[in-house]
Amino acid sequence: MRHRTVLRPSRPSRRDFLSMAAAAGVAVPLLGCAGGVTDDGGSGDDTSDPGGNLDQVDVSPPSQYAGRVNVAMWSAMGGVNGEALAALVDKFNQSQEDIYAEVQFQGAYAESAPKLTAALRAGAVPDVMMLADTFWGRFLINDALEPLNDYFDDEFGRDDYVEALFDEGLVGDELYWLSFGRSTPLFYYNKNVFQQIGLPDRGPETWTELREWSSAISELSVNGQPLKAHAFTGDDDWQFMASVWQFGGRLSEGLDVTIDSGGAVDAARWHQQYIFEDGYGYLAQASGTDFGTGVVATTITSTGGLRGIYEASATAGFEVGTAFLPQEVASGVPTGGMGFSLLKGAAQERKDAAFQLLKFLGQPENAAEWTLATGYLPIVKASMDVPELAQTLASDPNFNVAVEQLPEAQGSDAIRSYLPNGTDIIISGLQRIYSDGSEDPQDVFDEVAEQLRQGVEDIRPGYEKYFG
Amino acid sequence: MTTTTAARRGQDDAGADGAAAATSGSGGPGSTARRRRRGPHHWRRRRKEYSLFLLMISPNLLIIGTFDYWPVIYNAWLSLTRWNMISGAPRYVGLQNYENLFTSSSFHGILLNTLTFSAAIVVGSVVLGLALALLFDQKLRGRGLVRTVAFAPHIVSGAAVATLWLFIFDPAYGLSRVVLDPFGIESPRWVNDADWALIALVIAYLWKGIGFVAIVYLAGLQNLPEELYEAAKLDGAGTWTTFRRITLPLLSPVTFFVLVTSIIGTFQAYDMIAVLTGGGPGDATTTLSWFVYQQGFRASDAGTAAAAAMLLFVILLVVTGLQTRFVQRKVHYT
Repeated sequence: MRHRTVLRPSRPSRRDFLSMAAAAGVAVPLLGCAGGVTDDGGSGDDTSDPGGNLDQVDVSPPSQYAGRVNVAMWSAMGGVNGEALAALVDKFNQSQEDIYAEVQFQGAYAESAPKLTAALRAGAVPDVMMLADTFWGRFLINDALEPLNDYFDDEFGRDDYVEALFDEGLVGDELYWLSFGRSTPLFYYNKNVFQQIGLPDRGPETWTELREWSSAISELSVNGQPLKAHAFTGDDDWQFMASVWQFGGRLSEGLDVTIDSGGAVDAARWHQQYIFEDGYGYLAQASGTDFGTGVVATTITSTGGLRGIYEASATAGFEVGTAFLPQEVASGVPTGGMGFSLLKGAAQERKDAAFQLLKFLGQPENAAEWTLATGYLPIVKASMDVPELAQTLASDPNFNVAVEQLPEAQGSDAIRSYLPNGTDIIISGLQRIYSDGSEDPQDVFDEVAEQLRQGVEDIRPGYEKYFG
Repeated sequence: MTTTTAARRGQDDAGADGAAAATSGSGGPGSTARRRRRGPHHWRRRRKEYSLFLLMISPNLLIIGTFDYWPVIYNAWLSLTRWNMISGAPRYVGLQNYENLFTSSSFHGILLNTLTFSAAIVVGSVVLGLALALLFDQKLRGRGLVRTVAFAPHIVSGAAVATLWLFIFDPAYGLSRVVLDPFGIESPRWVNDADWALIALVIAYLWKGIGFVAIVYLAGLQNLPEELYEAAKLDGAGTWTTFRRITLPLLSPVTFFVLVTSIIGTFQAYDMIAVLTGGGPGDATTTLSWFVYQQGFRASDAGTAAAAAMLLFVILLVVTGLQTRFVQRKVHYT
């Protein structure tokens, strides 16, 4: 009742009309924007234009860098790795006077890639995009990425890089994705546990050998519960792909899906038995964390996790050992990690400036700094001669294992790279097998394969344009 | 009879005109005389009033239209297309996306997850929320503090609550072991076990929402008329009878409110699923809203995501419609 005066209808004043007219004026352009989205969607292939049709996302250079060409880099690295990248980019800005580059963190790979999709729709994009090895392919076959060959010259090119890793960015002879933070999985083991039960100080050579060792491991206990021998990863299918290769299979040959046959099913069945019948393994929420805190004796995770695991294991009080991945009928080591692409639709001046940043990051001393700070593989050959890195490689056998294993490594099976939800579909099936002993791997992978094949139909035309 | 109807019509007209006059702000002496004659002058005046009315609501209509109705219409169109959102244009495929959804066995599982999750939360919220409210209604020491503590999780962000529960559910070091260890039960791998993940999600979600429901029920309880209880007591009704015959029926408007908000809330749940389980393991905790996100932003499949979103829209529309029609009729407003 106290508010009656507020509610009493009163004659609208001239001022009210003016403000309403202003509000209507705001609303109309908004409607116009929404309309623009459909027009854009309907207007077809504008992203395949030679360039210059896409604006830049907002960049805010500090005053000392005003007047330079701005470069926006979208990054998927937080934490220690993100800081290392920001430090390098800062160094780039100080090293010259023409270009200002800004790192913009956009969340992990699976979050930042959809943001690039949205940015392409909105018509304002970053100049350098960090993309995981399994994410750049979907932008490639949609004609969003800039071919990079013409940017290289005599003083900077393929010869500077570990060729096998550089070549993963090639389509035919043309480079679309330049490797940067590359990795392989490593087998990690708890040296104290192995010593305690008299196992040799090395990783198992085969999965069968791991099973033989596991019964002794599981006799130990940690925090009142039996110690598990091996933690499986369920939020990625990278490690599983390695096992598929080790059991002699493939997820796909090109875009022909083979996850429902041979080594893929064998590997899944083996892992499932190891988890549920043997009781030696489990599906972990975060296998690297579990290993670092001593909850599990062995796991398989990225070389890029080495620094973090060292820190955790120091607190938990045990020594970390690393080894090549176990084999079964074959060796299987997939590469992973990320690299950079440029966006085709950006203006040429921005693309030229953006490449200068990539070139800077590929200089030996900068590449060495990145590797030392993160644990990612040294991919620029001369970086291994930079004294600090050379010393670390010589003194830390764990670090060296990753480098020694590298010649065995190969790029991912195509289904993970080109089908946008390829990994999600595989991961979902894998989680069912790892989390439920009553699921039959053959049945699950039959379903997975069917979903993958349906998806392939949509991407095949784009894929064949580049790989046909 | 005729006179009464005519009189009523006259009254209605007066009411309508009176309202219009109030809107234009020019009601006053003289309007009574004009009401009798409906000449061209009257209609011109009416039109002027409508124009003013339209002008006044247009900013709101434009904003609501832009941000509410236009996306729904655009989404309905997208659901009839296939498009990866990266390049090219949506390609019309008719009802193909809907057909794919309805014939996919995993989508049936996802619908079932959504219903199970929703039902568990709705029943859990009503039962536990009411129980807590009855407890808070007692004249106990420190109840103000307890009420505040119980309400606190509601104002914390879902992502933070889910992160907290991830720690609690940790099978090796989690707080949940404090409850399980005394009984010698080995902790399940909560969020990584297909049988437990949905239960884990329900527990965390209930914990977050229960304080709010309890406070709403408490407000309802404190508004109940004392004299009904006194009368019931005189008639010799026991505690249970009083609760069942008086408290519950009188609280039905609150229950109705809780029903509507929890059903809509659970159908739209996203943040806690994202942090706790990511829809897994497998599809074990994938609900309709999570599926929409997954298809749209992980799979870059605008058509399937839009079709699923339309289904979500229709389901919520039907549920709300049914509730207004059947449940609200049984609601007793005091």
